[in-house]
Amino acid sequence: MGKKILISFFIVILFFLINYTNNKATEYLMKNQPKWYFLNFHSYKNINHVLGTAFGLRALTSDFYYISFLQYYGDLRNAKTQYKDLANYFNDATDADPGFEFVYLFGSAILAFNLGRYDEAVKLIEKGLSYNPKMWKLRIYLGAIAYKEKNDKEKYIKFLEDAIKYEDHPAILERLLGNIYEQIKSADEAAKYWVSVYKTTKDKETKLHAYERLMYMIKNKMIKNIDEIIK
Amino acid sequence: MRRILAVAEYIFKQNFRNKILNVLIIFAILSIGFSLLISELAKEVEIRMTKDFGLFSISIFAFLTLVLSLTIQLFEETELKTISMVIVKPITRAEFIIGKFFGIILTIFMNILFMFIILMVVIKIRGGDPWDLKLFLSVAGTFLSLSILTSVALFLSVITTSIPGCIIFLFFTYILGHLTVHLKNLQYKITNQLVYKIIDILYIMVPNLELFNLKDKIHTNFSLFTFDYILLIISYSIIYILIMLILTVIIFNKKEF
Repeated sequence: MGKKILISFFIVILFFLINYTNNKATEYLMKNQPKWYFLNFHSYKNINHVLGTAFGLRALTSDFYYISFLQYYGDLRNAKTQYKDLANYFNDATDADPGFEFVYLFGSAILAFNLGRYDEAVKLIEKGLSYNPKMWKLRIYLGAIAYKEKNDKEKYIKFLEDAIKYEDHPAILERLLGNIYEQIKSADEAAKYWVSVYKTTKDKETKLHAYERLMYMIKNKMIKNIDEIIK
Repeated sequence: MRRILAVAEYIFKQNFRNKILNVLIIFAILSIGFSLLISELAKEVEIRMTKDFGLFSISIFAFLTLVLSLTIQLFEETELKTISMVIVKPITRAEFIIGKFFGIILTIFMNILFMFIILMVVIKIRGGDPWDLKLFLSVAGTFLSLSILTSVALFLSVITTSIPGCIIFLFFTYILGHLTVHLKNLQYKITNQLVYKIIDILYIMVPNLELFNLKDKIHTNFSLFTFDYILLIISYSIIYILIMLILTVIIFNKKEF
């Protein structure tokens, strides 16, 4: 009888302790996670997000949306429609994981600088900033978009040059800047830039693009001081 | 203590002798290898993809290890009647349950360790940092949550009458365990008192597995990877396991074979 009472008493104490640690840890979690982390009454509209949360796989869900976007963007048939659904892919990926910073950078760069859809790009950047206010790189993009819209090339280039200084910029910006240099700067300056991209870029496609542009310029004898640039 | 270790060793060896678990390991290797392919598709975020997919594989295969290990144990105990042989031996039922618990979590630990080493190699190949502390803590979180689930599984195995029933309950515990924090967060907006109370009960009874889900947070800067938080979740898991094992032993002691 005494043993039973002792065990019951021990279990009650453990229940008290478990409730205490659970509350403390949950409080800690709730304090340290942003609002978007938690499901809300509208979450049911996107079943994939609910499933991702139920299995503890939110980041992975976002990764799959990102891969879907790449497949969509890589399919040339969609070019005919100017990738009209592109923004939806970015929204899905960033709804599942609003902290997926690269999607905002890559997505806004494609929407604004490749497709000229400034409104959608600005919307995506604003979403990115609302969830990640410390992500100041997006502000640089916002500036670049503003000047591209106004056709103020100098300021636009300045913003892009600032953006590619940061290690996690999307490689598409390197190609974009090189193409602009070819249009507005001398061939030697553009070639110099392509050489530096060829040496420093981590992206294979961009490396190949830089090589092809250099070869094109050499083949067409556009570069004056070729030895100096190669050196 | 020696008898507990003997049971744990027996369960561990039994799990590894079983071919299903070997197939599971092969699947895990393939799955992590698949993460290489996935990351190849997603240029510029390949390290993130590799980590996410690798951590997902580790958690899902570790969970499957638990389910299969439990199924095998239950099948042998109930269908082959091996339990009758165990309870006549000079070993208490409490020692048997505790030994079984340690045997299963040792199996899970070895599986997780094996998969984690592979993941680290894959991350290194992709040019990432395999010694990232967040990665270690995420895997540790997965192990802790599975240790809790093991204790729940043992509890379910003594209260349910069938193997499928036990597995289904365990599966629901896994899902509900990840949702209790979200329900708790929504609770403040609920006016219905009955629903409010149900959420409270679920929050207390169901293991709060979302606390251990650090793999979803390794890319964010929110400070969950702190000593205080880790200490809290370790304490929570130890107490939860202790309660589950005590309740399992109490019910198991009353069972007649």
